[in-house]
Amino acid sequence: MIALLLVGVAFADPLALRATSLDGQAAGVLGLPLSSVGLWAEDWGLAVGSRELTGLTVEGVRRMRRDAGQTELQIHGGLGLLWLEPGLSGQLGLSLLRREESRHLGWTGSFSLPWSMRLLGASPLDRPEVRLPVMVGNQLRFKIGELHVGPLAELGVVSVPGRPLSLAAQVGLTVGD
Amino acid sequence: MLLLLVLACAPQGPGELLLLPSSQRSGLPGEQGPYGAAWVRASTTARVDERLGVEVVFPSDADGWLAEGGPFPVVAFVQGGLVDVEQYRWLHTQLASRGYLVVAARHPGGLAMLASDDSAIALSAVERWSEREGLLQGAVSPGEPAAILGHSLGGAVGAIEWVSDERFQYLGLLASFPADFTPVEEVDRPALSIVGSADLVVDHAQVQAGYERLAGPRLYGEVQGLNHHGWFDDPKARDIEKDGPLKGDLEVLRANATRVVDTFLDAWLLQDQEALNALATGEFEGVEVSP
Repeated sequence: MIALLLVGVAFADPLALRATSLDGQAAGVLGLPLSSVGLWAEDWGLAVGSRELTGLTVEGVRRMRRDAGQTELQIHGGLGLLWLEPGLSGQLGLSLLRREESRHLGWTGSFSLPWSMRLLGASPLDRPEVRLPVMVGNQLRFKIGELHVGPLAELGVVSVPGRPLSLAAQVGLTVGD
Repeated sequence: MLLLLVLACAPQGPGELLLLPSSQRSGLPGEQGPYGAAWVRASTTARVDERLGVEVVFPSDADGWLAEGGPFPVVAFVQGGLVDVEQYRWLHTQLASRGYLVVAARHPGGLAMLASDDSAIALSAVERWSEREGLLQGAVSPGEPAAILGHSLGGAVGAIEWVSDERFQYLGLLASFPADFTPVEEVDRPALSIVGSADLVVDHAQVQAGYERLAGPRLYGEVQGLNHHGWFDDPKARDIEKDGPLKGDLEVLRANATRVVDTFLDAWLLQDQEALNALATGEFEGVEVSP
């Protein structure tokens, strides 16, 4: 079980599932803007999450191992129910992860495209809206007793066609066994 | 479920009162107007599924409800870096009392640059709320031209929105300048640049250079004696350390500054001929103006 304490701004990603790909079978994310729980079954995963109470999303993830598990490609997609401004959202994304592990220290670098689209309902811009983040992240992991603990930070930009680019960032702390 | 319903609703009233209405106030540029002023906060959705907090300061009656006389022209405001929206309420109150509705997106970490389309999203939200039952019903006319004001870093962000969204017809740079990558020279809409002579935070050469890039009707004003943090309340030690001291009474200096800002807004948002004439004349007490 891995738990994530997360604070940050402005971006959604199936982070819980990416964290579990370290070695876990289940994951939880607590904090702002993202809270989610996820479960793995072999190379498939399922996550349910919410961002700052803007809605509820359900995402599935397919994990494709390469390079003896050190490099990994994930494809994730799902649907969301948004209630702050009623509507539906769709998510589709790719994450490429690279992990290095030693006895006491682990590092995961990530490159993610957690794209999403508002499908129905009133859009904030009164037109269909697509959100195209490009994120780069680093995650460390230390072994402390029976627990793994480590910080996580991700930075990137969010493109919404027709709008100026926005910056995105989030930091977190992972705790797991 | 109740929480979800509350989140989905337009702001319900009344707002928090900032100023009682008074017919004794003249509402001349630089002075408070006859309307009361009240504020309300609400949330809207940004970039598919982000939550964006929005503060609205609106012309109100004595109980914090929307005043009669609307719809009111919109002034979007972008806060300076690491300065809270609340610290500009003196200015927002002044504008609301004169019949403007002020909408300010609440940016993550106080950094408007993190999401430079937030003011456009906040404006869309206010337009939707104006069409729904609630506190702001009838407050604005969707699609009408709006102005965008930004202080310091917020001015640079406001310039981005001004360039990219034609709903923002008028730009006010308060102690600020457009970034080099913002193509303000391609826009011929009216703009104002105003800065305090005692401001040691902003680079005056950059302010002047940014102003020179503005291609439409424009006005440059230097408020004698005003510094950088005189534009907001409750400055922190770091704000004061970097800045020059005020050279005069803050209330007087703010009145001198808002006389220009109010005239600019009256001239373009209201198409007030007297204000247009004042801009053309360019004579404002305590302010050195250049065309």
